[in-house]
Amino acid sequence: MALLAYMAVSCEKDQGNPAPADSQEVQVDMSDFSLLADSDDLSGKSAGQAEKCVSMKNLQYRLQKNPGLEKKMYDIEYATRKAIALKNNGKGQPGGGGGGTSPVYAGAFTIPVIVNIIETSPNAVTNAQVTSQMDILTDDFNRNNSNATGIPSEFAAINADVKITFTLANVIRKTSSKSSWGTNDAMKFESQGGINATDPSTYLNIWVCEIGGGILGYAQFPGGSAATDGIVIGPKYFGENAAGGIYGHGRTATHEVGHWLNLRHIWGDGRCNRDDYVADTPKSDRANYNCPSYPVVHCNSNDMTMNYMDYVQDDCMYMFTIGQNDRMRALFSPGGARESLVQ
Amino acid sequence: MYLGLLLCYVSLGCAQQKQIADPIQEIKYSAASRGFHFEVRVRKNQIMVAKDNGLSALEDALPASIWNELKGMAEGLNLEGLDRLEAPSNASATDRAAIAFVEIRTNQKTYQSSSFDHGHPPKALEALVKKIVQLPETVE
Repeated sequence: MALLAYMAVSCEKDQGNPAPADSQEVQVDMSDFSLLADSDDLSGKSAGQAEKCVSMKNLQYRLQKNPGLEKKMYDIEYATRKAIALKNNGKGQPGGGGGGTSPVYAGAFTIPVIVNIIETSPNAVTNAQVTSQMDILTDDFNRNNSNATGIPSEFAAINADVKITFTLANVIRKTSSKSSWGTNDAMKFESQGGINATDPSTYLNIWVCEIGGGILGYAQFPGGSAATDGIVIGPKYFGENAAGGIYGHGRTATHEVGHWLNLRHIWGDGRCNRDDYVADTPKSDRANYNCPSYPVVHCNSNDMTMNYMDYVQDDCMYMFTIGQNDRMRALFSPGGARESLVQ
Repeated sequence: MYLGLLLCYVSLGCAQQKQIADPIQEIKYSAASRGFHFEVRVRKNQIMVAKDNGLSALEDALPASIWNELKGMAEGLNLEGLDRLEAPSNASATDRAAIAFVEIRTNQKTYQSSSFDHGHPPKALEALVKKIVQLPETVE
């Protein structure tokens, strides 16, 4: 199978054999890629090159359980790293508004949004929440967050303008007495009392409903099933909403859209050696919560707690990095997993 | 003491020898996500519970039988391997689950497990986690 070939290539590369010829002359190292949490920690163990293939053994196990999804995620990661490597090598032209040959799509563009609201009484989720959420997402993805004056000087130069605008395409409302919908996507299926997704290849679908279990919102990475593609936000935490308290300023959606655009948590979901696959974000071994004072140190460097992909409260997250921007925009390159959004 | 440990390798009862040498003092379960925090700490005669909203800890007496049961479960674990346990799922990567871990403190050292999804502990921790998570309801 093709994926086993990828695995074999990666392990052999670690042992010093030359990588196969690539028509666009970049080498893509996938040896650190894992779909698991930090348990397959490879640091501090044997320094032998063969040990690096442990994550690939785990990947093989996962493939047996859910072959299609894991391969898709592997392929997307490979394509993402290749696009960024090409960009950093200066190959391809910087893209204008038409996409063209840029390895990382550079133009400003708009994503239309479908808001699927499942509420316990009609209009409990207000239109003001809906429009404010579009504004907040657009601000955050256009480097227009007013809290950004708090960015420490060491991170100021890598604060990215992602240049994506979010416009409201439609609001679909449904009333349901169900008090919590969980995190297994029940809200995304009419057959389970929810609302079906609207054309996820063209729209960002946001479901707004009570999730339960203390969860504010969640997302689906690129590569998953189309029927469940999009993000989910609890009604209190959607848009500008006083009832949401410190999570009532619409940043849960920014964080979840970050995942939807292929960003990992900034601490890499693991210890110091587990990366978020972005070069310019500092390493950390844990999530930061609430509103930490700068500097915070966990892995011999200052954490970027004010990044949208940490776990801090709404007013204390206010930046994406240039590296995160590249990673998101690799999805819109020719053949990218979300290319349909810019076609 | 060390001779005792050495001898125990050729007989049964190593766990007991190790336990006498370095007894377990505290067991902690923690689960957190953005907007969610749940923590249970147990020691001999004491249980502390912290939940997100109130940020207050409920302290209570812990029946000896429960402490002994939990301590026994912890003693049966490979503490050195706690941070290499494989999580059965990673829903927390897209915020579908809170991030949980177990911490076991002995006289000499604190062992922290690898993190896993709240509600889905690694097999080795299943019994301990199931018991400790239920405690706040049973010990009121």
